[in-house]
Order: sequence, then structure tokens, then C-alpha cells
Amino acid sequence: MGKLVGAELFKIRKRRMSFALLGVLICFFLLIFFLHYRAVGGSSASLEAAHPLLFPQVFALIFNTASGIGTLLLVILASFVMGEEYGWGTIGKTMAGVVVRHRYLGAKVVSLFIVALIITLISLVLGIILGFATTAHFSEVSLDFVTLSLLGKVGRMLGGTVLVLMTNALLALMFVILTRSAWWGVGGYILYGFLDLAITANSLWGGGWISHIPRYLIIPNTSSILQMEEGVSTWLLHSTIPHATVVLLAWCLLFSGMSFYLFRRQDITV
Amino acid sequence: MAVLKVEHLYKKFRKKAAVLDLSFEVEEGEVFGLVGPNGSGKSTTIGMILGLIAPTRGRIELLGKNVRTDLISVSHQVGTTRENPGFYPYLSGRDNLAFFSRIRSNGVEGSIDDALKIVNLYSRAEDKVGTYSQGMKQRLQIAGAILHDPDFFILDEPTNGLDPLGIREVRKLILKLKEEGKTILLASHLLSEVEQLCDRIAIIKAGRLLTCGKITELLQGKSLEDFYVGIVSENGETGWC
Repeated sequence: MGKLVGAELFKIRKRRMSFALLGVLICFFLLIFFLHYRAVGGSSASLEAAHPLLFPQVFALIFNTASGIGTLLLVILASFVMGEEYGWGTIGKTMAGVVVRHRYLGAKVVSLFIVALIITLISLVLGIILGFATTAHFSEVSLDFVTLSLLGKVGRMLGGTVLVLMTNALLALMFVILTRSAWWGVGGYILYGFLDLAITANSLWGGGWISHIPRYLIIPNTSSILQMEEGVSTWLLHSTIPHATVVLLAWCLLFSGMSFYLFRRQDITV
Repeated sequence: MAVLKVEHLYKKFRKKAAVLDLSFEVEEGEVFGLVGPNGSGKSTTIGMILGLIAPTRGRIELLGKNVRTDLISVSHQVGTTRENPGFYPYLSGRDNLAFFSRIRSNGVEGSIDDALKIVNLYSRAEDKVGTYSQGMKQRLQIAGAILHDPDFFILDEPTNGLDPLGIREVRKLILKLKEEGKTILLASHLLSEVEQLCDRIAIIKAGRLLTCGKITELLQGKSLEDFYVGIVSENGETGWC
């Protein structure tokens, strides 16, 4: 299995797309920080207004940005990493007695998890560098904010971001296997996103059991899991962090279970 | 001894039958031709032999193992080329061979250079496969098939996309493999290729076996083209080979 994961990572590393997506991630981070900087009033902003760009509050911005753009990038990568195997016919070559199907798909899932972790760690490092820059701009840089409690929160949000990225990547992977098309992986993710948001928005006007549905959907739980402090309430927040973790893990299990089932039964004709 | 046994094989894609009660055996050391018009079920049959397509019914035994349960245990003894050569276009020819060799677990990377030399691709080994012509991809596929020195080859349209010189080289290579005592299942619709290379053939049409036997006995002085046209234009009966 280790060799197969290594082979998958080798292919990802050799793709130009991987580096293009990494470039997009870096540009997006710079853009988000710049926009926030402009939004709080630029160089003339008060210390209070610039709060979200300063340590330790900046971690919320880092992980929310990482989960937003990171999800999209990982969904694109997951869709093409799997979908183009059908398009190029390499899946037929690999499955023709060379590798057992569940090990092959397992290696893809593990390699996507490693990429999700890398995306989150790069985002964190990038965000910390930008956070130091903005903190130095508005006040003095000191490491007094680093406490065990903060490190715990950062660790939890890092894990939450990886979970969010994987949930969406597995959703895309399932669509790719179902349709044998890379574009349908991205399309399925967008389609689900629209449905999820529509149901969540609709539930605001509905009473009774309908209002509970968003508690079990991906987007509201993504918002919940990436909160720095529990108890802040917005229209998207419907659950606690443990609840959100369980729900997202359940979606991961469902999507990966469906993917393995479909892949195992699939006739490979390319 | 039969290297490959196909017994009462059926395959239906939704309501369309692609293979109907197909049975044949490939004996050790022979070149066996699977012949039929386009859409006759050759590639579907090969897909089932390689474990890519699940048969609706029937049994396939490859090197004494049931393909549905034990294919991996004998796969290192089988070299394959498929109608559509599947390679990663962003990797070089050498990297593609190394990749498939590595994931096969018993691949021998040292023989990549030799395999590339045999198919005349050594000078282009470092170029990305995306820049290769169809014929070069086909030759790279053949290099992949011979790389781990298997005993049994399953070659699906191996001369597809090759120029006349390339076709001649592949024919020579198949004859060389035959001289070395290798067993070959060759699926093709190029009758001249089959006539020159095969010891026995099976002709299939619409998924059914029309006839099967030693090529010399079947032809009885006729050319394969005349024999083939005659049998395929009629409605042949299914049978056991």
C-alpha cells in the first residue's frame, strides 16, 4: 500500500496542475489579506478595526481561507487525478491484473489526505507570515499570545480544515467514479454546494423538522467546525464542534463507502 | 496444457449482449488468434480475461487460476497490450514504464532500457508521452508488455496505429516470442497478421463463436480472407473450441 501511495504522490508531483493550484492558493491568500487590510481602513486603520488581521484572531481568517480555497483546489485535483485515469485509459492498464481495485482506490484516498494536509500546512505557514506582517504593521510583534490553549485551538482548526477538505474531495471522487468524468467531479461538488445552501437558507423560514436538516449538511457544519470560539451564532451555524466533526466524518465514510462500492462493481472498458 | 480456459462466457451490458456462450482454450506455446469484425466482442472478452469487466456468467481460468478471484497472483506472468494504449501524457516514456513496473511489485527496472531498445524508442525515452504519435504509444505499450519477461501475452490489436515498418517489427517480435516458447493470445481484425502468426484461431461475430481450430485445418488451401468472409457472412453456430 505504501508503494501505491508513493506512486500516486509521484504522479501528483509530476503534474503541472499541482503547481498551478499551489500558485492559486498563494495568490488567493495574498489577495484575501490585502482585501481585509483595505476593508479595515488600510494603514490608517485603528488597532481595534485591524483586530481580525492580528494574532491570535488571524488564525480564524487563515483556516477559513484555507478551507474555502483549499476545498476548491483539492476538489479540482481529486477530480482530475481520478477522472483523467478514465480519459487516458491508464485505469485499464493499472487494473488489468496489476493492482487490486480497493488498494488502488485506497492509495488515491490516502494520497488526497496527504495533499489536504499539505494544503492546510502551507496555508498555515503562509497565514502566519502574513499575520506577522500585519501585526508588525499595526502594533509590535510579540509572542505573548502563544498559549497552550491557543495551540490547542490551532490544532483543532487544522484538523477541522483537513476534515472539511477531505469531505469535499471524497464527494468529488464519488461523482468521478459514478460518471467516469473529471468534470463531473467538479460539477457534482458545485451542484451539492447549491443544494446544501438552498436547503440551509430555506430552513430559516421553515419550522419543525425542516429547520433541523442543516444540522446534518456539509456547509453549516464546515462553518461550525472552523469557529475559533464556540458559542458564536450566525445563520449558518447550527451545531457544536463535536457534532460538526461527527457529521463530517459520517459524510466522509458515506462518500468513500459509495466510491469503493461503485469502483468494485464497475466494468472498466477504457 | 491449457494456459487460458474460457468456459461458457456471457456478458450483457444492460440489455445488449456483447458475448454469448463463448468457450475456447489457449494451449501453452501457441499463438492463438481471436478474430472478428469490429464490435464482435474481442475487446470485451479480453477485458473479462484481464479482470476489467465482470462476466455475466461463465468462468475464465488463467494459468490455472480463476480470474475473478486470483488474477493478481498470476498477473506477473502475463504481458498485455490493449486497443487503447493508456499512458500518462505528462510523464516520459521511461517514467511511464518505471511507474507501471514499480506498482506491479515484481517489476525489474533494469530491463526498461532493453525493452525500449527492442521497440526502437530508446532515443525518445525521456520525451513526454504526450508528444508521442499513436504508433510510438503502441510501441511503448509493447515495451511494457515484454518488460517483466512474462510467459503469456495477451495482445489486443498490437499493430494498431503503426506504420508498415512498425507492423513488420511487431510481427517479428511476436514470432521471436513464439520461438522462445511464449504463449500468445492475439486479438486482431487484420487477417494477414493473423494468417502469418497464428497456429490456431477462433472467429467470433456478435459475441458468438463461429468456428475455432488449427488454421491449416480450417483453411484447407483457401486464404484466410476468403474463409473469413464466407463464415462471417453466414450465420454461424456457436460451438465449443
